[in-house]
Amino acid sequence: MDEGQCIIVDGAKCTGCHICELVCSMQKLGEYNPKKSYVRLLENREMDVNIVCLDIRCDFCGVCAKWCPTEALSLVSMQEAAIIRKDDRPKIYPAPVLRKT
Amino acid sequence: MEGYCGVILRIDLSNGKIVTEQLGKELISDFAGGRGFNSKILYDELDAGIDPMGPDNKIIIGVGPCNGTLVPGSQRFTITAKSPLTGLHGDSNSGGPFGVELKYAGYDVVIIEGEAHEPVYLWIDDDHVEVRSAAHLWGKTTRQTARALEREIQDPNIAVVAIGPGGENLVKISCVISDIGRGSGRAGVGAVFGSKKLKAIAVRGTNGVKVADRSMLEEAVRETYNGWSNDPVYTRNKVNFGPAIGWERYEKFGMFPTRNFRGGTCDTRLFGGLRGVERSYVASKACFSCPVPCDHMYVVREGPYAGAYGQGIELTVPGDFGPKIGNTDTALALKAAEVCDEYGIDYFDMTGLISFAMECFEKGILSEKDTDGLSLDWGSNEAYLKLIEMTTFRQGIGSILAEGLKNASEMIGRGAERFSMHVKGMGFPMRDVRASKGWGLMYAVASRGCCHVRADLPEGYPPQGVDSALAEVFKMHQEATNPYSEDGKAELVRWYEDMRAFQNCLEICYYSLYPWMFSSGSVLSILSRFFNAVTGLSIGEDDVMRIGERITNIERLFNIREGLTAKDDTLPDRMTKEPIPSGPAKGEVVRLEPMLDEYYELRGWDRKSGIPTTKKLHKLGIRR
Repeated sequence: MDEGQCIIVDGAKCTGCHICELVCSMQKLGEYNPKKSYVRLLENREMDVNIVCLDIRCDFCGVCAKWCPTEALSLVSMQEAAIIRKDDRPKIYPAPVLRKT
Repeated sequence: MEGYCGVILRIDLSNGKIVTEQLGKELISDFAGGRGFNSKILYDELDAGIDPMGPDNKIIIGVGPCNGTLVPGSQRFTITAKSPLTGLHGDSNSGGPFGVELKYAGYDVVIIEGEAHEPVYLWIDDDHVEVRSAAHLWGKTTRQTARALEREIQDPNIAVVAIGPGGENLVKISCVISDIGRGSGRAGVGAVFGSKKLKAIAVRGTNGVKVADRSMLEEAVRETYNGWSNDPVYTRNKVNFGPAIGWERYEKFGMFPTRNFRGGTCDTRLFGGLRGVERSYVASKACFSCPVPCDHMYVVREGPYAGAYGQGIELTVPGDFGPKIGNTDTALALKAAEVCDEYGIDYFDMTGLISFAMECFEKGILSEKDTDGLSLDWGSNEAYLKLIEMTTFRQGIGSILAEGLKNASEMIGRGAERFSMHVKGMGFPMRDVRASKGWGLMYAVASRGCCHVRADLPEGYPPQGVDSALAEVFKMHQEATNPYSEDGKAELVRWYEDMRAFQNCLEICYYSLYPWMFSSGSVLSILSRFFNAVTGLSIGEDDVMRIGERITNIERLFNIREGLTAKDDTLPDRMTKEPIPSGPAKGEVVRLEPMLDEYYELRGWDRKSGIPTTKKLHKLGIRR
């Protein structure tokens, strides 16, 4: 794992499909189990809100970004992430990292 | 073997008994999953002639081996029971998180028997299962119920299916709603829930699903993702408009069910149609594990129905809530859809009843003294919303309409039957089949009554790369893709019915494999590869069709046992005797008998009795 990495989320592209959770749990745990995935969607299902977050155990392997069908996720360096933040596009954000649940 | 939990959950609401049973090997090998499991269990466990609203009926909910995996669109589930609307095999399929959550909880099938003494809901939390009081939920709408359960259980990520006042009031066209706008709409399954005083089922599952061959699965899945992005109409059609794009086919061929199926055209200057609903969309959203975001949250932005919102409206809102009921107000169409979702009432049968009642009113068969002073005029927003209300709560004429199109027309009499558009008691969905002969055959023969999803067929364009079986059909029947021709339709309907029956076993959404649907070599190959990669079994394309054919026949046998004969495979006279008065399909009627002759021959069913021959059943390994 390279500590200088980040998952960038384009919120406008995320469709809430959960494919990132499926491929992550298969990669890390050998089974499809979204609840145990290291990338998670925080949802408001009635209002169609999907916010991507990471578990602290995420090691930035990039499988989620590779499989996202709309390219909403990308694996970038911290330097690239910082520039994206400066560009002030609120719907594109580095995924927040949550404590282990 | 992977993919299956290996567990059937059986709950008897009469005495509260909860048991788990092992999923039998024969069910797996012969009926594959989902709808297949359900249909076999219904046939085996129900006696003939039971009351669909009584304790002897069973609610069977099935998922398949691919649910909860990376297989695209494999998040659906099927609810099966004897239908109170038709008295026959009844099933209804839905999306939403419920099917996947049930799989993660560790169950392939749930069977609910008996009848509770008071309103209850089921709470399935992995292997902890409880029957709980729903006294505080009775009377709530479907969304209110889901929200209340999330707060009660203190978890926003549970999955809920629920009935609304429609099912509670035993309305025979009521449905079970999943999430906030997905639904098991047809066959009156909501009324079966209501008859058992089962208000809702909430489920949470924390297990995972393992697969036998991860790389084979990923290869097949990647192929479907690529197939979509290589499809030139991908973005425009499915992402921008969703399934509502079917509107364009209706316009081209004159299939609109205008004013109770009296003309295939619709003046889109008056009614926004496709553009109208598009303006209400918030953003594209995808179902679980699907790369195609064809669903949309919608909201009505202004006017008297401002704030009406929901999801999952596809073509029904512009079509059935539009020209069918003579409505030209898009906002009303969306509001009516929201109300039907909240009340748990089927879109197709409710709009069918509205258009039936309005034609009866127009023709003087119904008058204001039958409707408590309500004028059932085409275009009256008040009448549309009031009829939904009256049907849901069985008020006034609503108590007749709540019995379904067949019963209502018989109860009203005075020639009303002529305007009642149903097959076997279930109302017409979607299109005027005089402009779509293949669909006309499908409507006539489908096991659950008038059904728009048992099959589909290419119309108006040449099919893409097909395998040998279908290529033969298109070679022998030059007019097979002409929607106005009966030519080749029996072959196509039979083929697609069996293919889709297998797809229903895997509980894969039709739209997720749409580009492959009319390119049969690929679709059989994809389905068998998904199944094999997940389970570790090795079925071939022939096995896919054989399992599908077996399911079609077991449902047929259930119906025969309930008294169905060949005479019931029919269409209303309006479709077979009244030519379409206007539009691109002007002059067309459905010449049903020749298609039925051919279809029965292909199926190996006796033409007079409608019963599958012993030879056919033996070939499929079915014992009557």
